[in-house]
Amino acid sequence: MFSLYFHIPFCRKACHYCDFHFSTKLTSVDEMVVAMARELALRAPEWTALGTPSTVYFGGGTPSVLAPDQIAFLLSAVRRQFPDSTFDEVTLEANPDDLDTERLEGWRAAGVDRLSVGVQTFDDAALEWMGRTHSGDDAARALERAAAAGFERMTLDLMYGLPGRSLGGWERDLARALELPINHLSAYLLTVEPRTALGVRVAKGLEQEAPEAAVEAAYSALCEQLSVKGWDHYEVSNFALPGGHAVHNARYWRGVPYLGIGPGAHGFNGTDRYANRPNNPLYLKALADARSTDALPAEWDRLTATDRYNEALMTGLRTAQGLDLNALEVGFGRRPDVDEAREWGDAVSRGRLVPEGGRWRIPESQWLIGDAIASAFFAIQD
Amino acid sequence: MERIRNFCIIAHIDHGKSTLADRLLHTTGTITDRELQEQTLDDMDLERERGITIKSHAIQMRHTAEDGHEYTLNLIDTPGHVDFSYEVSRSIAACEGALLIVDATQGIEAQTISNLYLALEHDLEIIPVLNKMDLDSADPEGVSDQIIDLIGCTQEDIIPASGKTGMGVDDILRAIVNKVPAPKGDPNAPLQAMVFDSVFNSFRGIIAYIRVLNGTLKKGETVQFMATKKEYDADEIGILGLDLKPQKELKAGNVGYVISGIKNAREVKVGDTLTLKNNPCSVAVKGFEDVKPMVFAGIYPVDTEDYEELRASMEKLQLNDASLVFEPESSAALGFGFRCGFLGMLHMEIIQERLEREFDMTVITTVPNVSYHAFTKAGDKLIVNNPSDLPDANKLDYVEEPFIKAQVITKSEYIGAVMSLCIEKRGILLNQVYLTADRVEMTFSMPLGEIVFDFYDKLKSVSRGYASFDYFPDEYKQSNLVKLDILLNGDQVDALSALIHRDNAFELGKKICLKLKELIPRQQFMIALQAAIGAKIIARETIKPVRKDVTAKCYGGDITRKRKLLEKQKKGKKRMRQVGNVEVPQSAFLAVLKLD
Ligand SMILES: Nc1nc2c(ncn2[C@@H]2O[C@H](COP(=O)(O)OP(=O)(O)OP(=O)(O)O)[C@@H](O)[C@H]2O)c(=O)[nH]1
Ligand code: SF4
Ligand SMILES: [Mg+2]
Repeated sequence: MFSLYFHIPFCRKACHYCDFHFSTKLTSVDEMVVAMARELALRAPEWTALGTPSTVYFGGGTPSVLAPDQIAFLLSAVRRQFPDSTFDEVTLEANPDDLDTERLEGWRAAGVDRLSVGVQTFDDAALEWMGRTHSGDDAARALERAAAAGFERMTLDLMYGLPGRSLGGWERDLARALELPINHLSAYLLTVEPRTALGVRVAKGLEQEAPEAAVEAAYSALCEQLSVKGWDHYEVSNFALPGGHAVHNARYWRGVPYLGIGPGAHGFNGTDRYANRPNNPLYLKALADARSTDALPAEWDRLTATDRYNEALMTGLRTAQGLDLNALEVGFGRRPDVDEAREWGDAVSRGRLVPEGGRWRIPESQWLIGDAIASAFFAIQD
Repeated sequence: MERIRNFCIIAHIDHGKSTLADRLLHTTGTITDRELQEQTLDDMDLERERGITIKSHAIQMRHTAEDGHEYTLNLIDTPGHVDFSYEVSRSIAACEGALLIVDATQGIEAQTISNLYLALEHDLEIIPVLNKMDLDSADPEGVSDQIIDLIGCTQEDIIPASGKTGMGVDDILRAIVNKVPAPKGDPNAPLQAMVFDSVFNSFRGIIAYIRVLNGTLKKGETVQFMATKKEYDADEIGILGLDLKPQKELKAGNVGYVISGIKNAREVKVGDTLTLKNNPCSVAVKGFEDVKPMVFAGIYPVDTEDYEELRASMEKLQLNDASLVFEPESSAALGFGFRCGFLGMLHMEIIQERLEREFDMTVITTVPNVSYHAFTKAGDKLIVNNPSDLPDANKLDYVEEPFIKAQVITKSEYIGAVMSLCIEKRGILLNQVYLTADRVEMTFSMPLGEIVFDFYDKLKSVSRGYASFDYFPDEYKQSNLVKLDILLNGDQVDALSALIHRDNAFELGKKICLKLKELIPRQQFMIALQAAIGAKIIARETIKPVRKDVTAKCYGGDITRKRKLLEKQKKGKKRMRQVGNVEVPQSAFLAVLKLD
């Protein structure tokens, strides 16, 4: 079993905070879809040993720039390469602007059964500040249309920790999101990335990151409102109603291999990771006459056992399930409570780690400093 | 022997000694075009990187003079920095002449004067050289006047030169041949040679540099060091080219080296006299005083498990640098380490850097201090090289600290600024002389402990670089000193304690807390920083805990990217020292040196 990820490297417009790989030149979309099917065909033979893809995720960029027949084309390419596959989940990331009824129905017919909608906020001033192309009402209406078109599994992305945003504003975003027909919610703390319009503004001192106290307050409000309504906070940034948990994304945190297709996509075969170069023209050129995977513009990163151990720690502690120490010991021959005993004891005594159901997790209240907690247990190679 | 000339090159720091040495080596054909680089003699990595000379370097040249005869010229390039002035004294002892280099754009500076006096004390023939004449900002008339005033020579004695263009090099060579006296000595007398330096080579052991005063040393002879009484076979002897050049014999008047299988630096004392076992000379030459460390600091491994490795590394370093002294000590905060004595702050910095580079040791250097004399009520006198060793207040009668005579040379327009800085540093003006119409030499009596802190940098900045500084140890005087302690989350960190004057305590305490706040990274919990005198807290700062640092999105490719980032951060932490639960970076231990 493995997961399949398509990176659709196009957006209609660049959002000011985003450093994902995309191009706003949509003229090569058709060519790109064909090239991605070719990449899939080239890579497939190396993956058959791992079984068949059990989830498909169209991420980006903005996959909703793809017409239903293009999605159908890619999914049929998957079935051609892996004839016996059945999908537990097929997710499409979408921007509200693209969600007209015709497309929605078309994607559903093509096999998409879950939508992830980039809403970010319902506040029009904040949307404008982000450089988004839709209004808050547009987003809400788009989700209603999607539900009407038959989508039962939907998630939306919200963003908190925006400079200058009030707690009240954030609480209104949450309340509005919860009125919509979704069963999953991702709430991301805004990260100021250096190579973005926002990053430049912050570096120049034209804008300041939200104060930590405001971030903490927003996070507490988030946890509280969702728990009251019965949502499961199952990962640092992810919440679900019963049955709404993301299947594909959760598998990343369990170390399930994934086949990544498209410029900027990453793949992981269980031991090593590759990254396709994030460059559309280069990708198209390479795939025009690629005869084998050697010709693909990808870089491999061979993961050592230590690397994988650290990743298991990091991703495991991002989830509510937490870490199974015995499993770590069996898999890697080391465990943080023994090998990093001092740090472990310190974290436990400070309430940064709690036992739950035979496993150890970071309690919800401490997740905002989860990276510091987890990385304290990293094994470091000299 | 009448065709040998032994001379050294002395000057204030950066006046161009090593660059001029390049020109001499090149002109005499001692080094080829290919071997020539900038400051060829500065062969240590650190010297090349910092562009300064740390150790003296001796090299032999052959030069055919105008009289048609070939002369042997032994050149010793010396460092200009105050911390290494003992290197200058040793080199001077092996010579009959000195090139006194003065930068024509800067004029006479503090070490020009102090090094000149060292040379005059040994009756060396001084050849004044006005260097950097190629620069537009050169002021030959003004600086010549300064030189004439200083050494009482005539205008004609001063050689205008440039290490960049080669101007004046022939004149310099002519002056060396004609003015520097040939060495005196009797090649047939019993061997009497002075060890003026030694270096450690990991393959060959100790290489002793000698100046033969009388007699002749032949390869293979059994030699004896007169002070240590130890005997060795002179396995290899020779002269110093760019590499070692083995010879069959070394005669009176010459400079060369001896290798005799000695592995332990302590067996060779610089300043000792070498003679022959079977035909010893009757008197030893006057040796050197032991170099006294001026500044003390603790050196600790960042990782406590590396203590033994650190010891081994320091021992090896000592083979190369006999001026480094150390003894084991322990600190409540840092565990086991060493209290080390250094010649000055630059020396301290260099030792730390060499430990890191040459021995791959990550170390913490604690707040440096000078050597205090503590007098107890019972009447005992204790030497305190570590503030933590100061007796309890109820037992302590009084403390004395070392004072120095500090000489500052500056332009007259900066007199006021220099004066207020020195007074702020508890200095008392003893004397003020105008060297020229606008150059002034001021002499202060000042506590050495104040120099250890940020004196150099401040002097440079208040004078815009137009002040140079030199100092000599003077007497110990009673002072109103208190021990300033720093507490991290309520626990005193002994490695951060310092003895300071009571009048400065409040201000310093506050500044140190502020600086530490800047240097200690925020951690997952709050950190209280306090400065205290005894039980009294005089300053407090708080380092707020980190409250958000989690990656928002962690899917697919984010995972490796984030892991690598976190691994890098964790590696950085390995360079920090855990004090209680607080991770303290190396730099924080020297925070007091970098106060604004
Ligand atoms: N223009 C010019 N620059 C020079 C001359 N001589 C030296 N320099 C420069 O001055 C700087 C110091 O030169 P060094 O030869 O290292 O000086 P030094 O006296 O040996 O310095 P220390 O050994 O550290 O005391 C270097 O940047 C040289 O390039 C010169 O004649 N003309
Ligand atoms: S946030 Fe989404 S839509 Fe905006 S630029 Fe990034 S990938 Fe494109
Ligand atoms: Mg030099």
